[in-house]
Amino acid sequence: MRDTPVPGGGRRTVLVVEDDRDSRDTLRELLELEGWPVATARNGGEGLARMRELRPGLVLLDLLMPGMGGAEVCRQRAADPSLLAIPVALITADLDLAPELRSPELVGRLEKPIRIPELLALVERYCGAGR
Amino acid sequence: MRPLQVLLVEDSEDDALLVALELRRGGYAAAVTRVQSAADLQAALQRGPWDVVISDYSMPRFNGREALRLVRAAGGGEIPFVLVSGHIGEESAVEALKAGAGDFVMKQNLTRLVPAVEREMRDALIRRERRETLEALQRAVAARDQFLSIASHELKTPLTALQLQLQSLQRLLAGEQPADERMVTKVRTATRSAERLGELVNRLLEVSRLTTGQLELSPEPFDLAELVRRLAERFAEPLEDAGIVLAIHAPAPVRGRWDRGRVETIAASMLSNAIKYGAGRPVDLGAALRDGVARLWVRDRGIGIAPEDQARIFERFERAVPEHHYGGFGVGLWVARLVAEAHGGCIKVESKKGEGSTFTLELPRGEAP
Repeated sequence: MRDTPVPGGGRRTVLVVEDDRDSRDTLRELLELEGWPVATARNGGEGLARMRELRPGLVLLDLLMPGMGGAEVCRQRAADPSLLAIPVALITADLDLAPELRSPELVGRLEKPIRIPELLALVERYCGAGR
Repeated sequence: MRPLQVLLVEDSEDDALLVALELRRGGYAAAVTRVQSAADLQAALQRGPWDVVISDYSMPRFNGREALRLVRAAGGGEIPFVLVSGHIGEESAVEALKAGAGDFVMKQNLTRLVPAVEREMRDALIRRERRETLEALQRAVAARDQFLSIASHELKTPLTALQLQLQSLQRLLAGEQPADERMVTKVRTATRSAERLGELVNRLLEVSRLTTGQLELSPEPFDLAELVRRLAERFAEPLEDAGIVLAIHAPAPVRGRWDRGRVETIAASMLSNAIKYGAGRPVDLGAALRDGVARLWVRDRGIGIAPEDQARIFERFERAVPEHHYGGFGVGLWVARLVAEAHGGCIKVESKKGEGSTFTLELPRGEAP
């Protein structure tokens, strides 16, 4: 399946799935300031729907969310080949990740506190014009 | 007359009457239910509750020891149990008492029955209260640990947003020409405060994880000597503030497979202790490999630790000095010990009061690269 390119100098969308409003807004502002198209979702269910709808270049997925959390999103994604093609990086406060979340299908892990250079490098790699 | 629900294990109807009579003479309106077999006893125990179980010692189809076992299995030590016997040898009596019978009374001397029953009922009540107190304490500790876990996760969320905002602000300021130095300084200070807050929250998280037994190491190959040098850079400012000169002793690489983040946290807490308790005198920080064991050590020349305090400081919420003189949670060395042990290593202290302390972290090399 080919993903449709997104306008904006060939830059692809970053989907931020995060329940905490401040964290979500901060990430969105920061990425938009750097020129990236950004979409957001407030929980795992919304996140999966937006992944299907937008086919983002990268998903930044919070682990702990009320309702459907990041772990369940990962499980559902693993069972759906079309979603498995979308790169997902976890945002987590936990050094100890459950074994299923250490699977190679995840492209990265941003530990809190998130370091901007690390974040931007990840976004550039998966959403940059070269992709 | 005080009411008393008595479960009597007794084969002789006459003896049962005697027991009931004796209880009545002692001021109890005893409602006596008599059983003669293990099955009947178990059924009666399930129906409960009983104020006391009184059991004959030797019966044709059953005995007092077995009755005691069934009563203890049903109610722990909390159902009062008294043995009555016509002929009990000294050995059997001692054995029964050891097994947990509250008392035994000879049938020839039944006037002892009421005092024995009363004392056993008091003792059983104390045993119950003790268990309930213990359970209440365990619940309180579990609630505290759960609170700690929730609190540290909850603190982390807004803090992450705050730290990200401060980093963004720094980037924006860096792009401005000419730079507003006052702003830059203020944002830098705010960033540092947020980072300290973050480290405190991380320590809480780590404590909560260790308490609930959720520690899982993520070992990776790295060089302890390099970590030592990086740590020295990280602590340049606090060292300067404390007027401490730090000497590094890490001439050769010390490679192994360990949890990098956690080893760095241990080393940081060792160094920050040396700064805190080092009385401004020089501190040594080193890493070396000897006999297949990696060692990271910090030596200060400060207040030192009295011998009686040296084991205690590795426990949770302990420190050798009054807390209001020195900040911190008092968990650094406890975390250090548990993490070292999880690696199959240990942390040691050598110290003399007034002459300073040397803390050594020892780690087996793991599957070294």
